[in-house]
Amino acid sequence: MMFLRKQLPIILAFVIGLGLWLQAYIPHRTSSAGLTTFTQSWAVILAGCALLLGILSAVHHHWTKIKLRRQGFAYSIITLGAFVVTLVAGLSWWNWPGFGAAKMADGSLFTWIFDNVFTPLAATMFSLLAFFIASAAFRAFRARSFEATALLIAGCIVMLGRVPIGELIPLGGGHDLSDVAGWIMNVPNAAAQRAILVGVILSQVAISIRIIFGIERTYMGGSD
Amino acid sequence: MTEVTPIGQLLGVWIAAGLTLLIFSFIYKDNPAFKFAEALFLGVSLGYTAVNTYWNSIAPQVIRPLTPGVNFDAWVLLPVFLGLCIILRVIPSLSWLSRMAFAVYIAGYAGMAIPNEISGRLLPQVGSTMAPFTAATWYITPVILLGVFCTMMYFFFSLEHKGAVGRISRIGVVFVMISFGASFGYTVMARVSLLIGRMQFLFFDWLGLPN
Amino acid sequence: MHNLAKIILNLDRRIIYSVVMLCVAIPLIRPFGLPFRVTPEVRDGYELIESLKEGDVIVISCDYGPSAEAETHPMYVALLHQCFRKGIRPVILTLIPDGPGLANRGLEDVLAYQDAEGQKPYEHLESGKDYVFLGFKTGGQAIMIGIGQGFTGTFPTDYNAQETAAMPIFRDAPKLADTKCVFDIASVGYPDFWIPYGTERAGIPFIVSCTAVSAPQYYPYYAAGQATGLIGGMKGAAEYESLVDMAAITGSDGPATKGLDAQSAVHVFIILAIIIANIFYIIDRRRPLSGGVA
Repeated sequence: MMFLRKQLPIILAFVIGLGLWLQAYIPHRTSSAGLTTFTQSWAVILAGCALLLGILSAVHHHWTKIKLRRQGFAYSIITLGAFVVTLVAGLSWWNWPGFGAAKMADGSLFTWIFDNVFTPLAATMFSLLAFFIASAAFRAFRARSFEATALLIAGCIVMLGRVPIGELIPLGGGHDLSDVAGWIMNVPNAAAQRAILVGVILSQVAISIRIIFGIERTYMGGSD
Repeated sequence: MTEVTPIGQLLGVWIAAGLTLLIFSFIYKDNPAFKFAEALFLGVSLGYTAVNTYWNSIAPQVIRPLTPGVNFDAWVLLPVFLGLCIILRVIPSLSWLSRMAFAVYIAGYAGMAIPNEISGRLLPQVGSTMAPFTAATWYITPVILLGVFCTMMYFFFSLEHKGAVGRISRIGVVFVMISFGASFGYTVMARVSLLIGRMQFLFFDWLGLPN
Repeated sequence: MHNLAKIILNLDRRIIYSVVMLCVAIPLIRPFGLPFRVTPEVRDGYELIESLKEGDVIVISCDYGPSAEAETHPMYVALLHQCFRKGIRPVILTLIPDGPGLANRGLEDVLAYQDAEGQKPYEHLESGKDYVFLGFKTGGQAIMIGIGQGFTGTFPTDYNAQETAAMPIFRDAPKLADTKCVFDIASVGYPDFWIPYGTERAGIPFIVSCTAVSAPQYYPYYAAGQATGLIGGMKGAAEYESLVDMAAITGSDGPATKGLDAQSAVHVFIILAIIIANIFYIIDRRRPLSGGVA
């Protein structure tokens, strides 16, 4: 039992990880078939199940909240109700009254929910940030140090230079503020972002090696 | 294209506008109407994800090959078993089964990442940084080279940032701050764009103002 | 002066919110029509698509959901008009679960588009032959490699559950390397993966269209030539709309172009707010220690 719980996952990780790593250097039909099977079937199914696990976990959380009558459980009823209605609308194969199609087709109840409930809620939720970022800029964006001043100036130039009004601010020599914004994006910004990118890639490769060789085991969860 | 009935469309616009205003009510202060909209958003979002995952991934990759006929493929039972192991994580006594599935899933991606990240991103990016200076790029390439080097030094903590290393990393900080400033500018742009999108909906689609 | 500084620095946030709201609302109702230029990043992407021949196949990855609709959807609509006008055949897919709704709606809207004479120029286009919408697939990077091995194996059926194996579009372009480019319209980090797992492996160009918030992180790819074009945010989408000439196609400017005046107004307000706040911050900092505000 201990073998199944502890050793087998590490052996599987080693075999699958090393196999998919080394296949990149073996231009053979069998090697390519292994990659095809993993990417076209296994990865899709496993990722799909992982997504469903996330959904189940959220549903379980709200169900427990309702069952135990925790504070704000009424909102959990709304969440679960909306979940069930959307799920039934998307999976049912019959046309709901007033709708000319079923499942995910155009004109179905499911697409109606997407267009008129999901879209406005998602879009508006994130649009709220426009207000908060304006308020935060007013309250917290201070030229306290040299670094903060560099950030502030670059931010203001890009903010003005990347909208039409920036093209109306001449700087001489046939250039305007949008040219400066373009230079900031393409040169110093690209340089700093590239340095960060190189660091990210190197750490990604390092963590991948640690996973394959069983050094990194956080995916195994608990200690037992 | 199958259409929704006109009353359904009109009702839809009014519901969408109402929900938009419920979310906007948060800018005054947190309130039950906003919380209702938030809970609704979460529920619909979960349902929408579940339905799309089922029809687009589970149905073609699991149901289709397990249905008797020309597409039948018994080998799919292997990843399906592992997939079920993932879902069993919700049952505490069986949650250990998910380890096997996660091992395959995570190590598979790790295995694919090593060759592809190195050849597809790392080497081209490093190569571009060290590209020879040409007449057309003499005023860009050296600055990028300097910026990449100094920024990497700033994030290199194995050496104490004193003396020459300190001065180099100080130049790196300037590049990082300019880049973060640019990111701030673009973040403002992004958030404002989303607000514009909602206002366009309210003014033109709901209130019917001349567009 | 210090009292004024105190008042200004502690301004009620709802006053700032109201000004932001007005800065958006007024230019939308009464546009100024500020002109704008097309940046090289956007033009390069547009010209790559323009250089393609009739019948060429491209991949459009719609990796955005409703939360980024205002920034990304206008770009998608303009790109579809450009493709269909030139006879370029798009293979549309999405790698995020909330992506299919907008990708499908945009496609249906463009296919049903009616010109000034009442004609429907794209009415004759057939799914599976002139375009295809494959829908959503879980797996991210694996899907990019998967379609590099073959489209029909990764997507056995399209969004409408039609078998893809018999589709003419996949006879001409069975795998990613047979397409002419990948155009990723993204609100998430998938452009970072499309390059190593998709386009670099297949040896085809890549164009990224993204939300403004993520645009700065993709400049290294544009600078290295790993991304042929970079279209960032609503401004980028507006530039693309002007290149495709959406005003001539639909009779009015596209939604991204219409939003740019409001964008300018809010940006000017935020910069003024930052400047004013910093002036009063300096005044406040110089206040005498005794009797000052804690």
